[in-house]
Amino acid sequence: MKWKIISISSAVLFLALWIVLTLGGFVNKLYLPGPDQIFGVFMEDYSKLFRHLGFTLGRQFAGFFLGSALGILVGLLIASNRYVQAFMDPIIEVLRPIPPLAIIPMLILWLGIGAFPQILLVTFGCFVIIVVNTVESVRNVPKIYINAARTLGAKWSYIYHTVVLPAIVPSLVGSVRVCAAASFGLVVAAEFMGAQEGIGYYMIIAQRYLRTDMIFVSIIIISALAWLTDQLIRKAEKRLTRWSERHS
Amino acid sequence: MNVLEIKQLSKVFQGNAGEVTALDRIDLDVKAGEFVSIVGTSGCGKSTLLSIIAGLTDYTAGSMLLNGRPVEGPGSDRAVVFQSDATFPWLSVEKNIKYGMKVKKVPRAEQEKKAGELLKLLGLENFRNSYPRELSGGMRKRIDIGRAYAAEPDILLMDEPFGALDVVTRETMQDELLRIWSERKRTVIFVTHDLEEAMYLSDRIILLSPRPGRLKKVIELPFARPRTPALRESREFYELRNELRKLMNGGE
Repeated sequence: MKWKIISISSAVLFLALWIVLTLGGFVNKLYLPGPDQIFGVFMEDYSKLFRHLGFTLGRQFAGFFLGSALGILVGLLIASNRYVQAFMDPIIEVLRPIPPLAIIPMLILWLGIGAFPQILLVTFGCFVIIVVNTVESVRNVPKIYINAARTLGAKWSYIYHTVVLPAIVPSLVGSVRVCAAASFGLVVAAEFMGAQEGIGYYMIIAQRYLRTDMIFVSIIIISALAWLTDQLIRKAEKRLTRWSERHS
Repeated sequence: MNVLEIKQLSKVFQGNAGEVTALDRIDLDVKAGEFVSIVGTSGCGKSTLLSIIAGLTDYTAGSMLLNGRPVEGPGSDRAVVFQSDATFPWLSVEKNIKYGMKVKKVPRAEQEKKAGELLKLLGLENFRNSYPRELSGGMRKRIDIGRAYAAEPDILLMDEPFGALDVVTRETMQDELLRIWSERKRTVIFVTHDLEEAMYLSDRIILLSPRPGRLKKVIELPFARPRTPALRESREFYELRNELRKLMNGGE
């Protein structure tokens, strides 16, 4: 209870400080917009914002979905077959340290400005995170479960879907969460670099016209959506891993 | 009729410091329905021997026949109860128990019937839908035992199954195991470093000596069945234990 009060008062204090500073005229509105301006932008621009958001979320989701699905698939293949592993290892090792943002200029050079390179960027970012994590989690499945299944007569493919897959679900969901968070950042960054629509594009235009309030609104919207997505995945996680220690 | 016949079986590990002989020319016959314990101090290779019987480890020399046929890899004819918790945490108690039957594609109705009987026998019927993590260590051991039993193995292999439990729970589980075993006779090979546990449970004790693991002595236990906790306090139990302890600690 005590800690909750402290946390709430910190939030209230922070908000109050912002309101006093901006509405009281202590800071230049150009640098820090007040709640009145934020509200104004929402009212004035909401249809435009929705449209841009639609583009952004479409690309973000496509990339996130493709990247995660591909990452899990390739990760499982690598972890289950020595030949695939030997073949893929150097490729993954080369891709792994590349910061996804660093390939944006190249994607634009190769593919121009549009939805495709942006989806590709998000896909790449998610793929690398998930593939490494999937391989790692398969390796971390306790040997004893596999041995127990073997001594109960189970063959490899049966063990794979009745032991390995369920055992890695908690860690997979964890990396999917990381990807979801990363994908919002990636898609906005991609739109900064080259786009004709999307929330990142909207922000770049706002920057050009010194509209701090519009930038703030964009940040708020993106953060809220990222938070909401995370909550959704956590809900799903609780359902999927009801058996694991963390929730019991 | 011997279920298992092991002749001159050896196991040599290739270590960094050269070859290490874990098991040296072990002979062991196990009769159907017999409860045999393999006992020895750490390093005598008792767990290695069990792992070889289970088919999880291969041997370097000698022969091993199960029902007259050589063994290739693990199988449900030799289900194992391990020392550490091996219940599948993502499956309910009931589904854990059914795992081996699912592998064997036992008809659904029969699965239901057998799992129901086992749950009852193990005192787990009120927890059939619980997950293992919600239960105590002793309960989880029951699931492990039930799961191995449900696979209807020719030999039930137990690798220090109660080694991780506290003393009180361990003794309870020993009585439980005897009760379950008397109702459902199986050939059991039980590995332990606990002499009293082996004496209390088994028909026969195989005593191994360490480094390299060699057969030291085979002891037929004279205690009548059914056995009750009072046996642990009896004089003959006490005397035999002292005698075996000396043997185990290197005496002749």
